[in-house]
Amino acid sequence: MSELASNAPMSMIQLRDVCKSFGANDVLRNLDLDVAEGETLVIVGRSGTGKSVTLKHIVGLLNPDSGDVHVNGRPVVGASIDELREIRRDVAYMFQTGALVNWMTVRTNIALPLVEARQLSAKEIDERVEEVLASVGLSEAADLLPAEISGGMRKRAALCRVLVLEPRAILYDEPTSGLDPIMSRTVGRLIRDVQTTHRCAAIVVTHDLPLAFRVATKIGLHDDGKLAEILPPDEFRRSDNPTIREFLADAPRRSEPLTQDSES
Amino acid sequence: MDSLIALIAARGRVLRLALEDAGFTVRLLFESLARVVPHMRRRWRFILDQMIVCGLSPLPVVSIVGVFTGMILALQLGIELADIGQAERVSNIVGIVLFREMGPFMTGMILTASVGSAMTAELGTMAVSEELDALECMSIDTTSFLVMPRVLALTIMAPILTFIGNILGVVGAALVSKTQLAVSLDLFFRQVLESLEADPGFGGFPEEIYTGLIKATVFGMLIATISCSKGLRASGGALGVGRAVRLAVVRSFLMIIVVGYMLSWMFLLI
Ligand SMILES: Nc1ncnc2c1ncn2[C@@H]1O[C@H](COP(=O)(O)OP(=O)(O)OP(=O)(O)O)[C@@H](O)[C@H]1O
Ligand SMILES: [Mg+2]
Repeated sequence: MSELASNAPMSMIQLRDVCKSFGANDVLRNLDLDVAEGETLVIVGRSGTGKSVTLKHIVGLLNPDSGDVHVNGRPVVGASIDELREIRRDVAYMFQTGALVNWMTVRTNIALPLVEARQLSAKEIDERVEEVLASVGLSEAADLLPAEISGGMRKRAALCRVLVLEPRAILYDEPTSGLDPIMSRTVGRLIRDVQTTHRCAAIVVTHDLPLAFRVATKIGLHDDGKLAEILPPDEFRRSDNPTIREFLADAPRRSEPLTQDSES
Repeated sequence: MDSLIALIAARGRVLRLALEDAGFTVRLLFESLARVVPHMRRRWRFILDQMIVCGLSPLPVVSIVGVFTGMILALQLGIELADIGQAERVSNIVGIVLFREMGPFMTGMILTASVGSAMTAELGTMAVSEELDALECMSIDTTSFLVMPRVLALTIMAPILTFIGNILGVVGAALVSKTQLAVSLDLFFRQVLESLEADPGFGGFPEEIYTGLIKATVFGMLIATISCSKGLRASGGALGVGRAVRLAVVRSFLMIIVVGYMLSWMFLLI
C-alpha cells in the first residue's frame, strides 16, 4: 500500500486543510482527503458531523472558510462560473434527499442531465435511461412523479440520474438509506460495477456498514470535523482507534444475523 | 454610543442586503431577457406550459373583477354625473379610467396574488429541497430552465388578460348605464369609440389602449422576475418558502404602484 502511494496517480479529488463554520458551529476543522482514480473512499460517521457539508465543498456548492479543494487538479475555490461548469462536468453528486425535480417524471428527471448536455440524440438518451432504470428495477415507475413513488424508489431514481452521466468522479450521499437489504445489496453491486468498469473516483457517505465494506478501497471515520483515520477496509475493521471501535460495535456486524435477544 | 453605532451598523446591513437583493433581481431580469431568443427553440414547451398557467388560471378572476370594476365605476360616476345632468358622459370617463389605469392595475394585482405567488412557491420549494443545488451541480442553467419561460409567459399574457378585463369592464359599465342611468347601449358604445378615436397615437391606435397595455406588459415582466428571484433565494424549509412568497407579493404590489405612476407620468409627457 505505502509504495503504491509514492507513485500514485494524481488525486482526482483533493481537500487540504478545509475549515468551515456556520456561525458558532465549527463543522469542518482542517479536513484532508484524497481520492484517486479507481478508488472508493467510504466516509462513515455520526449524524450531523459534516459529511454532506464535505461533499458540497467538492462540487463548489459551499465555499470553505480556509483551505483548498481540487478536482482533477483544478482548484474549486475561487473558480469562475465557467471553470466550475467545467469541473462539475467531471463530478456527479447524488444528494442525500434525492433532489429530483418535483414536477418532472422519473424518466425525464434521469434524462435531464443528458438532454441539457445536448451531446446525444433523443434515441440514444432513451436507450441509456431505460438501461439504468432497469438496472435498479425502476422501469415500472418511470412515468410517475417523484411525489408518487416511495422514498426508496426516489433514492434509486437519484442514483440513476448520477449513473447516466458516466462521470469521472461520483459522490454518493447515503445511497442506501431507506432501502431494504436486498435493494441495498443491488445498489452496492451497482456502485462496485461502476467503479470497476469506468475506474472513476468515488466517495460514498453511508451508515450502512455492510455496504461500506463491500465497496470501499479505503474507509474514513468523520469525527470532530475531520477524517480521523483513513484505512483500508480490513485494517479499519481491526483498528484500535476507540471511536472506530465504538462505531463498529454500535452497528450490526456483517456476518451476524439481526437478532434482538438483548433489550437495552 | 456603542449601541448607537450598533444600530447604525444594523441599518447599514439591512440596506446592503436590500441593495444586493435588488441587484440580484435586476440581473435576473436581464439574464432572462438575454436568453429569450437563443433558448426559445429549446424551451418552447416550458414557455407554452407557463403561458397556459399564466393565462388560463387567472382568466375567471380577471373577467369577474373586470365586469365589476366597470359596473362600480359607472355607478359611482353616473350618480355624480346625473346630478349635473351629464349622465351620458359616463362612457367616456369609464373608458379612459379603465383602459389607462384600472385595467392594468387590477390585472397586475390579480397576477401578483395568483400567478406570482405560485411562481415563488414553486421555485422556493425547489430551493429548499436542494433541487436547485442539484441542477447547479449538473451545470443546468436555471435561468434558462426555470426563470426565462415564466418571465416571457407572464410578459405576454399580462397585456392579453388586461385587454380582456378592459372589454368586460366596458360591458359591465354599459349594463349599469342602461339599467341605472338610462343611457342606451348604442349611445354608450358610440361614445366609448369616439373618445378612443379622439386620441390616435402611434400608427393611429388609440392612445388609451396601448399605454395601458404597455403598462400591463411591464407589470407582467416585473411580477414574474420579482417572484422568481424571491423563490430562487428562499432558504430555511417551509417557513422560508412562506417568507419568500410574502416578500414577493409585497414587493410586486409596491412595484406596480410605483412603476405604474412613473409610466403614467411618462405617457403624459410624450
Ligand atoms: N446551510 C447550512 N447552514 C447552517 N448550518 C448548516 C448548513 N448545512 C449544514 N449545517 C450544519 O452542519 C452540520 C453538519 O451537517 P451535515 O448535513 O453535513 O451532516 P451529516 O454528517 O451529513 O449528517 P447526516 O448523516 O445526518 O446526513 C450540522 O450541524 C448542520 O446543522
Ligand atoms: Mg448528510
